[in-house]
This record gives sequence, C-alpha cells and structure tokens, in this order.
Amino acid sequence: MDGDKFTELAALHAINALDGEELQMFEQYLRTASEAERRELQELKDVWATLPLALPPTVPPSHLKARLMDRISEEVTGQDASPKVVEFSLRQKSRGLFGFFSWQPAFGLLTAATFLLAITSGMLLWHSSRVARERDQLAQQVAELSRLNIATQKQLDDLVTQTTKFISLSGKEAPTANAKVFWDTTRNEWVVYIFNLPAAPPDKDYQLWYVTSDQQKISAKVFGTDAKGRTELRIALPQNVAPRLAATAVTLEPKGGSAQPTSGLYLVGAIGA
Amino acid sequence: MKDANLSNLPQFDAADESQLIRRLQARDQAAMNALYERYANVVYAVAIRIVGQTAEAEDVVVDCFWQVWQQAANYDTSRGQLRTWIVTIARSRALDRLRAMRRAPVVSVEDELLRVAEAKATDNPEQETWLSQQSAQIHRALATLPREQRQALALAYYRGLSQSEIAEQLGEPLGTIKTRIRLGMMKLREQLQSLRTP
Repeated sequence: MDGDKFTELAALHAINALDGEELQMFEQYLRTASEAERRELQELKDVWATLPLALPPTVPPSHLKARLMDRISEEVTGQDASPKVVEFSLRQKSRGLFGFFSWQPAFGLLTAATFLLAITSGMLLWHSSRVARERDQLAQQVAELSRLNIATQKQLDDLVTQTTKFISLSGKEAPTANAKVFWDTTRNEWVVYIFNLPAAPPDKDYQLWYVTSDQQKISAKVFGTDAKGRTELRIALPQNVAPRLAATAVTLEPKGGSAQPTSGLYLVGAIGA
Repeated sequence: MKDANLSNLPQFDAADESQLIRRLQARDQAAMNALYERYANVVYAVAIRIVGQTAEAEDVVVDCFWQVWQQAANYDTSRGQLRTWIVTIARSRALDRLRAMRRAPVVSVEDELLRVAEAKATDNPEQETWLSQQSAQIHRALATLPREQRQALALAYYRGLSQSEIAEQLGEPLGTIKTRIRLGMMKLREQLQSLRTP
C-alpha cells in the first residue's frame, strides 16, 4: 500500500468512518504495518480525540460522581471481603506449635477475633451475594424497562408523525364509551383504541365501519372487547376508501358481523380534512 | 464562570497521567476521583452533543468512567494518550445510546464542529483569556478547514456515520467524501501537532 493510500485509509479508520471491504482490507494490512504507519494512525486518532476539547466544557450534575464512586466502592468492597479472611487464617497456621505455646494468651484473643471476623465476613458475604442477586434482578428489570421504553417510543413515533390524523369517537348508545383513531395517512394505517364499550351479548359482536362522503357504510373490522370494554385494532385502510372517508362508526351486530349496520351508533367520529 | 471553565479544562502532563493510570491499575479510588474531576466536563460535553438529552448523557458519563475503571488494568500507555482513550470510550458509549434510542438527537449536531469553530474562532483577547490555550488552538485549527470538510468530520464524530453513510446523507460521491476527510484530518494533524506532544 503506498503512502497516500495508507494516509487516506488511516484518516478514515481513525474516525471510524471506514466501512465495507476497505475496512477489512485495512485492518488486515495493519497486522503487518510498519512502526511509522502505526504511529501515523495513532497520531490521527489522537487528533480525533482532541476535537471535543473545542466544545464548551459542560459541568455534569454533582450527583453523577457520587453515583460512579458508589458503584466502584460496592465493587471494591465485594472483592475484598473474602480474601482477607483466608489470608488471616493461613497466617495463623504458619505460626506452628512454638507460636501456639509462646503466644497462648494472645492466641485465645486472636482465635476469638478470627471467629468473630469469620462470622462477620460470612454475614457480609451472604449480604453481599443477596445484594448482588438483587442488583442482577434490578439490572434485568432495567433492561426490560429500557426495552419497553424503546418499544413505546417507537409506537409513539409511529403514531404521532406529521402525517398522522386524529379522530375522536363517542356515541349515544354507549355514553361512557369513547375511541381514538390514529390515521397514518402516508401508510394508510389505522391504530384504533377503544374504551368502555358495554359487554356485548354472547350472540353479538361490535363492528367498525368506514362511512364515505356518499353515505356508503363499508365494514372495517368485527371485534370483541376485554372485560373492561377495551380493545386495540390495527387496520390497513383500503386505498379506494381512504380518499372518500367522511366518518367512522361502531355498531353492535349479530355474531360475525353484518353487511350493513343494523343497530344504533355506539361510537361515531367525523373525519376532518 | 470564566474561571470555572478554565480550571475544568483538562491539562495534559504525560508524567502525571502515567502516574494516574498506574494508580488506577492498582485500584486506587482516589485516582478515579481525580480522573473524573479532570475529564468529566469533556465527557459530559461529548455525551450531550451526541445524545442530545441530559438524562441519557448522564448515563453515558457513568458508563464511560465505569468502563475506564474496569479496563484500566489492560490500558497500555504506549498505545496513546489517556485522554484519547477516555474520549473514545465516551463517544462510543454515547453513539451506542443514540442507536438504542433509535432516533436522531434532539439537538441538531450535523454541523456542530462548524458552529463551534465559527463561534469561537476569534482574535478577541478577552475570550482567549478564559478559553484554554489548547481549546483556542483547536478552534483556530477547525476554523481553517473549509466548511465541507468540517461537515463531513462532524457527521462522523457526532452521528457515528461511516464514509458511505456520509456520502449518502450529503448526496456526494464517496470519493469526494474520502478526500474531504483525508484533507481535513491532515490539516488538523498539522495544526494540532503541539497538542499531541505532551
């Protein structure tokens, strides 16, 4: 590899911008690169790491340092507890019989102290392992919450975009019920959240309808609800319906749904421009 | 305010840093405390610029120093400067967060290097007195780069984009982006030579 080519690839590698085959090729080349070439790459990395110093220094909140140092102290304490006891015991054994007779009075005290230390250390170890277990459980919970948070954020991002229309539904047949429709007009998808519908009789189902500007009623979905009258529906809007939509409504229909609405409106919402 | 900024900027003394890393390798918590005092502002600034949210940036700071503590034993002083290592970790952890958030940062950083350079590249002596000499030198160096070079470097630094992604984002041929990055880095290396020699 000639000098210019090396410099170009080193500059890209130093800033982690090299990709694809060039990255593989360059990293392979580095295994046999000269000392001067390695130094050049390191210099470029140092330059790269220097750039943030151009940012105005930003003072982090004071509690952060305490958080970090607590974490470090916990780790250090956890590592130190056990070995100290072992080391102490070994020293006692190495004294031998002579040491035992010549230090008999002190030995009693030392034995008691060792015993006490062993019990205390045992308790500490037990406590430490319990804390470790709890910490692991918490870490799992945090990971799960983080996953849920990401999923929720994605759901929100999907729901609320610049091209999202929002439709609110309510109705006379079920005054306490309501529904919200989020319409992604780019992908023509609906996400419908329904709340507090009365429980449908065993031989009935709820049915969601598209109502067009020329008063056609087109079935969108037959659905049931949970015990609290809630459900969530995801519906792909037919392309030939979307431009003509004037409203959407929910009725109570015979099991399996109807070709046309046969009951009053449990929920209805007009669709604005 | 000015004094605080000045004192919070890292100073680079090779012997001092070598001693610090040796103490870290010996699991000296006081050394970790000193290291935090020295670099937390820079690490936090990088994290904020990349993730754009204070809560996330705070996690990045803790993760970064925790990684330093965990990996100090394996740190090889011959591989480069301590600040290079720490800032590299900070940037990596921040970019990990950004990717996990699956969204662009709230603060627009596309042209962050450009903005910083234009805002600070000044001969105003008063400003020079409170910006550290090093910081001012970096500002001046950045200001000498053409805007296109700074833009390509900023996208790599704050978004973690590869050369192909930068080319796609800017709608430029890949070869053009390579050239901009190479020229930009060469110029910065030349101008910041004194900073690289502790």
